[in-house]
Amino acid sequence: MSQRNHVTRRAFLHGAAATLAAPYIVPASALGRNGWKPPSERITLGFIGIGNMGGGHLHDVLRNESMRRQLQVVAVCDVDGVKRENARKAVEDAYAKERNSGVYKGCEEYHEFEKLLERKDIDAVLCAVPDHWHAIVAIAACRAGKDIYSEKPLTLTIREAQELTAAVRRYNRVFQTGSQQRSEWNFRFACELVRNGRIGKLQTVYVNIGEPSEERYFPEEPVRDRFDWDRWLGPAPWQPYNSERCSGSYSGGWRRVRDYSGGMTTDWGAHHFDIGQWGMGMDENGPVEILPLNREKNEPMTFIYANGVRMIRCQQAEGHGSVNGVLFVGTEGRVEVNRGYLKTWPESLVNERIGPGEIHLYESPGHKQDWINCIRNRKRPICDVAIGASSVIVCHLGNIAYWLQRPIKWDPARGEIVGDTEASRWLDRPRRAPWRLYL
Amino acid sequence: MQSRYLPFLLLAVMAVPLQAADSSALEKQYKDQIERLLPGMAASEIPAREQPQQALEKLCHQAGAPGKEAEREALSKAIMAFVVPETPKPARVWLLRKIEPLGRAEVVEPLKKLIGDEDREIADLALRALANNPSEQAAAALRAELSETPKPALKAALMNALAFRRDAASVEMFAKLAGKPKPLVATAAISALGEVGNEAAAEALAELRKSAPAELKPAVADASLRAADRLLADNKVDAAKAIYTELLAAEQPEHLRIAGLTGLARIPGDDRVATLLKYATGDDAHLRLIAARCLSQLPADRDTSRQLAITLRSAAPEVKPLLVEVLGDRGDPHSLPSVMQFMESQDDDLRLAAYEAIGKLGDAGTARVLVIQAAKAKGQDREIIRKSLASLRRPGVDETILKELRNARGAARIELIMAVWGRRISAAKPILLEWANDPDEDTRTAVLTALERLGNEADLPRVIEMMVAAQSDEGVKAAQQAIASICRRAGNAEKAAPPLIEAMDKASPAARVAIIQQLGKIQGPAALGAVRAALKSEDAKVKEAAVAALAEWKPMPITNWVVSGPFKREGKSGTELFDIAFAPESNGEVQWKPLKGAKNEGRFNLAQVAKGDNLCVYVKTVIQSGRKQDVVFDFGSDDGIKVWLNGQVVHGNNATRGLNCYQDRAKATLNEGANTLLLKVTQVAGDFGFCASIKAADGGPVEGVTFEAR
Repeated sequence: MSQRNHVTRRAFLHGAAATLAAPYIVPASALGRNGWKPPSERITLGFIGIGNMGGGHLHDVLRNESMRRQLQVVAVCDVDGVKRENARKAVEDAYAKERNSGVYKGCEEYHEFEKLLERKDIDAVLCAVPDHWHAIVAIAACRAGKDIYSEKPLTLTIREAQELTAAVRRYNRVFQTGSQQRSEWNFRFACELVRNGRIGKLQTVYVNIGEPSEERYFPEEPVRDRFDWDRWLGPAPWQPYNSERCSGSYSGGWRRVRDYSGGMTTDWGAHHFDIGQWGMGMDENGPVEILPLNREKNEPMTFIYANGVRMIRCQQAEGHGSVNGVLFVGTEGRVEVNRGYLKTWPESLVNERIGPGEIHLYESPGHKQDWINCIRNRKRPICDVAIGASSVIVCHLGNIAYWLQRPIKWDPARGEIVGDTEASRWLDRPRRAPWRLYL
Repeated sequence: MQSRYLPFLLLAVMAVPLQAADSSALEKQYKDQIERLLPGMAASEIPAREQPQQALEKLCHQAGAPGKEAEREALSKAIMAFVVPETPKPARVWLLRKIEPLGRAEVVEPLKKLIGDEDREIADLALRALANNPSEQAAAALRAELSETPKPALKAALMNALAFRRDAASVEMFAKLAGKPKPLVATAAISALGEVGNEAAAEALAELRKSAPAELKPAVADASLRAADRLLADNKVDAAKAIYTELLAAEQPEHLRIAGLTGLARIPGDDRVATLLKYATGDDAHLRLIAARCLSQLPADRDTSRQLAITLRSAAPEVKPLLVEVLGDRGDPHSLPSVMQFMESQDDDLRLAAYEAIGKLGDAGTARVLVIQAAKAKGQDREIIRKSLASLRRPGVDETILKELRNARGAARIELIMAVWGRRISAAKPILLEWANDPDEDTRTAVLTALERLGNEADLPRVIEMMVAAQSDEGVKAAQQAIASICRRAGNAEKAAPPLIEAMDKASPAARVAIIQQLGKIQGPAALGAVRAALKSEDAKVKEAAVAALAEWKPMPITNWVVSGPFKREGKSGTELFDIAFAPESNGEVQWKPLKGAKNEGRFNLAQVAKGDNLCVYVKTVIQSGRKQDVVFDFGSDDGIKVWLNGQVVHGNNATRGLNCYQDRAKATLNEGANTLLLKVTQVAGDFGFCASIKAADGGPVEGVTFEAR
């Protein structure tokens, strides 16, 4: 953490308060010079991975006035030369507008993330690489003393989640998992209603997400120009190039391929199972038994918790109908929540107030803003690595049970699968040489 | 060649349960099944491999289930029998991938022979299979190969595999290889020592911390920290502590010192708190902050709180705020007096830290004190005190605020209303509504702020009245926020439109501006009519507000399209294709088909139509318009886009970019009747898509149009 991130409380509160909703706004005049921090006081940021998600984050950081006040992008990295060049140009164009000269040349391109991480002047990195790279890049960033915002799902395997958590703790890094739903008020409020017993005793959580990943079979194509296919594959087993295999498209792409991702179980499970765990009060905990999705027998993927609550992946819930996002069902009511959506039974619950002395969940000022605040005050952000880990482990367990087509038992305290050696061998995957978890 | 009997063979493989006969018979049954699957698993067309490969995978999962050791072993042997050069490579690759989570001792010998295979892919898969093989024989095979091979890349790969297993028996070899001159070998060895992390590895790493060259020191330090963590987990506390302490030394790089201190913070004991307090009050600002966070996370026992309070008394001024913050974070209410003493400190940081900590520790009695302080305070102080009032969690706070509210006057009353807002005390609403017509503008503004959280639909007319009567910008804004929140909670923003429109007639120009702004947020038909009517206002500010409101009106996404393509030209890039006229734009013969898969805001992923790079597609729709009218189109594209309306180019952007909606805008005129809108979207590389939407020229929704996908 560079010296410039050490601000006085007053100065820090100036910065943080500028982003709070009324009536906690501090006038711009109090911030000095229209509230802009000069570049030397902004957090310097490197982007690793500029695909769909990375590009979206870059757009946000460059276009959102509040982000521009606080962050300075100084480096971009991608194995696709076209993407990294476009990203660098986007950064330079955006910052050029701040300058009288209309020119800005302060963003470097990197093909190798290791080189980007060597820079002492970079405070933090935003990682939006494919899932099979998440752990290696994030652990390397921890070792390099960077704070990290990493896209979800946290990792490709259970052991990676455990090791990444250990690395973040070891180096005392601020790590925000990109499960941004926790920073939206409706998800927080829904979970507070559940945690404070407003629907009675919680019995079942229904989660509507898409399918697990599978082995996929694509014909070979010539590798496209300026694209390092070997490095894109990295630790994953060798496969011939195919544009669909490495596409970030949600309708297909690498997210559906088991070598790189857990499919929608992890991609959307990192959002909705995460909310399920939050509502259950199961952060840094987990289920004890997992029943597999079995399409032939019409049996849903089911997570059974020690307290008897079940979390079920399905589209339709018994006695309810189609599930919109996450549905919590208790003995005295229900809460259904999704992006921009909250519905309760009874309806009056939506106007409930959580009183003092009850459980109040972490209130985030916005997912990136929360991360920025924690970089400055060194506290744990709303989706700290341990939370990302416990949520993604739920997802991975669901997939392992599905791929093996049998129930598995899990010990959340020890972080082990119980009594199934073959299933245990899916806790991690050996990496293609020369890649390893700790470079 | 794919047999037409293959599906039946697959069914036969999957449906017939194997008899748990003797092991040789089992193995033969599996071999027979694999032999039938082999041709399909090696099919030259990759998609054709799917069914036979998945059939084998299913067999492996069944045989690997708990309690099926005989089946597992038999299938593993059967699989390895086919991992021979005569088996086509695609099948061999798949067999090796399946043996990885399945095989044990019985597969080690044949796998060992493949480690040095000339084919890099086969060698890598064999290594992976041994890495994930739980048998001691697999570890021994990897160690044997490591000691024999001279090839640096293979040495590194073998060490990675042994590290994956955390093989303690390899530590001596790792230690030796860590001193090798080749970085590839040395870094793999050092990393492996960190993975094993036992006492022997820790000793080796201690030597390396002294002797390793500068470029390897970061790797050694990281491995040492990992070893320390593992030692701590194994209860080898002294060994772990020695490593953390060494890395905490002043000459170490900052991130290692932080890791060292963090490690020590995890070791319970008498000296833990003392160590953390030492660094929390030390000269190094970074370590102070880290130590403070570690103290915050320690169990909330009174002894630690007492030590903190004692340290606080004699701490340097620049350290006091941090320690006060720690007391607040720890949540021990006995620490309240220690923080309250700083409420009136002249040191800004200390005073603000005290207010924040009080918010975490305080009780009903503290609430009264905070109200008095907030009433006297200004600027940031007031904001923080208000937050603390809102955060107080102990019993009786709401009751105290309600009791004080009724008889409060002046600044104290304002602060109590803000506390009602912060704490959402709905029981206070009747009192607040009594003050809706209070002569004091600040009181009315505060009431409106509180109604933002407490108001419901029944309060809307009163809130609108208050907005119209507001004398200050803050008052108007507070009213607008209250209306927006009430509507959001009611689930129907348009309900607010009629009372707002009704209030327009009697409102001052300034109030009418506020109402129009609100109607612009609500949208809907009633609001649109009123905003459009305001365009004719004689008051310039009212007119300006109406223009601005319409500019924010949501455009209509266009989702009915037909598509044609892809089109390419040998040797031409996507950028160059922008200016090459293909059939759809040159009146040539074109095949169109419906385009499906519209997403939010009318986005389409064109990769469903055309995969690959350096190509373009065309999409077309026919807009039926009830009258001639001026419109505005918004486009987004990845990558470039060119647009024709009724044969004329109305827009072009030969961009290479990611897709976001509303990237480009184009004005155009629709004829009465049919209008053909044609888009050309070029693909350079990567993702490929577009979106298009339409609104009226004044920014409002376009009326009287439909879209036909033809």
